[in-house]
Amino acid sequence: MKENRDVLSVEKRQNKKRFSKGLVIGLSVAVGVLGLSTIGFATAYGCMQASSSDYAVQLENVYQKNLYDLVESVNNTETKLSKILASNSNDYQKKTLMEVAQNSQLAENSISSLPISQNNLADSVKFINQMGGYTQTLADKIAQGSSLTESDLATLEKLHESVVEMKSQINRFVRKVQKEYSILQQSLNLSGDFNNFTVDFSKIKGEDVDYPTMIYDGPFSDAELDMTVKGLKGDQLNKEECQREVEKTFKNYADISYSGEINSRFETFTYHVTNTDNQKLFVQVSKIGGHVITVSGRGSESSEKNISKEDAEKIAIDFAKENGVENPEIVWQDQLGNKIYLNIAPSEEGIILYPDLVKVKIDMGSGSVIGYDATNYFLNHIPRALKKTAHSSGDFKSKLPKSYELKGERLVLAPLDYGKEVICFEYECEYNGSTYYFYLNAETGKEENVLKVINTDDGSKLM
Amino acid sequence: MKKRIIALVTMLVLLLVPVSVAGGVAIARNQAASSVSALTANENKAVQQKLKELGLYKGKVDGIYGKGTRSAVISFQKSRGLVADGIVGPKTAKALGISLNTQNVYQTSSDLYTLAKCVYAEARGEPYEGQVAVAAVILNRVKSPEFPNTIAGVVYQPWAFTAVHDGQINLEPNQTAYNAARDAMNGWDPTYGCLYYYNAATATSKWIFSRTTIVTIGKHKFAI
Repeated sequence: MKENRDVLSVEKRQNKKRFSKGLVIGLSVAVGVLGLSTIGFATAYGCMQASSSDYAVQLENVYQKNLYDLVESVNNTETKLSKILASNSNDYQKKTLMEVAQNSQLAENSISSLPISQNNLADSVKFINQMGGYTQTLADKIAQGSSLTESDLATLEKLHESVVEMKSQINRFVRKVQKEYSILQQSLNLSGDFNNFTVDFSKIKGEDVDYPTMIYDGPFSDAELDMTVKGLKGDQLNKEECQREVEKTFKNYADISYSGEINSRFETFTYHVTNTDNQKLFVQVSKIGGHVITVSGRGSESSEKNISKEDAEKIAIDFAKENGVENPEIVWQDQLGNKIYLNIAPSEEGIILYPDLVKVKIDMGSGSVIGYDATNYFLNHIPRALKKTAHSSGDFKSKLPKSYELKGERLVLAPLDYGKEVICFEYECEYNGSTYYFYLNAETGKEENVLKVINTDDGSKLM
Repeated sequence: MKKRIIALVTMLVLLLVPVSVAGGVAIARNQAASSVSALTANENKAVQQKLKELGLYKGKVDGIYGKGTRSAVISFQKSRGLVADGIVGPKTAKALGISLNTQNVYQTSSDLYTLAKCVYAEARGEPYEGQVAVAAVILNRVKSPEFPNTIAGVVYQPWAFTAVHDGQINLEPNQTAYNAARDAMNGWDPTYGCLYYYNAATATSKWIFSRTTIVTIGKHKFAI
């Protein structure tokens, strides 16, 4: 027994020894790993600490770059404007006007990348953008063979005065900023509604900078913003009468509730409509005539299609007709999942009126209209009294590029920039697998516009 | 002894887990990246159709370049002595008898993506029309002379949008935000030209109250 016990105790001891040996190895490995990882984490943390101040430096540098770019653009603009006023050459004026337009773009880009609250910036950005739009329009005018008039020069003179003022204030501000001023730091300190940088920067605008009015038909002109509704006809309806129009339009409604009214460019009553497929729609109906102006709806997520493209086209046309669109015709379609987007244009004497485009989105599972936009139609649609062209589409075919295959042609009213419209022959052509649309003036054959179908991973679009 | 080994292994495993998880993520990302095809959905469908005819592809002809399509492309490339990289370039396309639309430069809708991100960050809790409205405001700003002239310029204008400022802009947008952004780009604008919106309950800037409110949709008041 004793022996046995001894044997046992020897075993135990040996076990114990092995145990402690294992423990020591285990612990030291664990400690080692822990130590290493601690060092690792500490290093990583150190790096993070270092880079967080790095980030601040990088951001400050970006701000500084934008500020100095802005100064340079404004300085250049001032010099170039004064040279335009001094110049007597159309070519030189055109070239320099275009440079002013480019400089305005650069200035706009720089100023909007600085941490300034928008509302303190709106006037300045508007002035810069309009200066770009105005000078571009004047350059285009010279390119088309005209010269600058007395009144153009007078406006340029006033423009120059404002830029001189802006330039001297911005240069004064930059001098201040050179002395240990951090744009980033100042932008993070708030005083009242605005950050300190906004407050400091706003001072450059001063009280007395008077931005001149630039009257022109071009990018960013005030006329662009001043759109009036020309196409609404009918009696003034109240919200109950308009609701009845909604009920007539959405025959498959399960619930309609009045949401409110909008008194803006369009005066509308708005309703929430739930249809029998449980799709929720937000519907805006004009107080004049009770026409549906817009429908916003998400539709279902399912990819199920129960109707054909032709069915969808019929649904869209009927919907448009019911809501006051005259002679609607499908002019473009694009499918994405089980949604089909259809563009509809009215026609007058066989001429497609593109400026009056109506857009319809249909869920091909339920066949319901889940999106509709007739704002362009009701903004623009009036009888145009279009003049018949003496030409036929064949007359200008020779002006199309040779290797392009002609797929279709029709007479259209094409919108040009800034509210202008012109009757064109539209030629659909294919080249190397891409589709192009050429718009040639129906009177002169002049190429007014070229559009290309761009296929992206998110449907196709015309650009 | 066994227990100790188990303890030791467990300890090591615990210490190593973050590393291997990170490694796993990186690998998964690489796989995802390599299976993204530069072809359009229609071109992918043509590739799948050809591979199916050749008996190399068993899946659906759905235009989605997934694992199945990729491995079928690799087997096809091996059988023709082409570089087996699983990518349908000009040579592979030619061997398949498919004409790639080389004239159509591959284009993503990065502007749509930027818009959808901003909609998701700013208005994901709002009704659908409220999300379209937020997207429309961004596009109205692009058109307005008072704001930057590109979608990215407007979205990333410093101090313009709270959710851009605080980094929520980097969340991945959901399908609803995408649909809303797409509708707005198609011309839908339930606000008829508004340039501002704010949540009356949380707005901190008093200045915003001076704007004329046009319409309230969900929690947002839209103003000009």
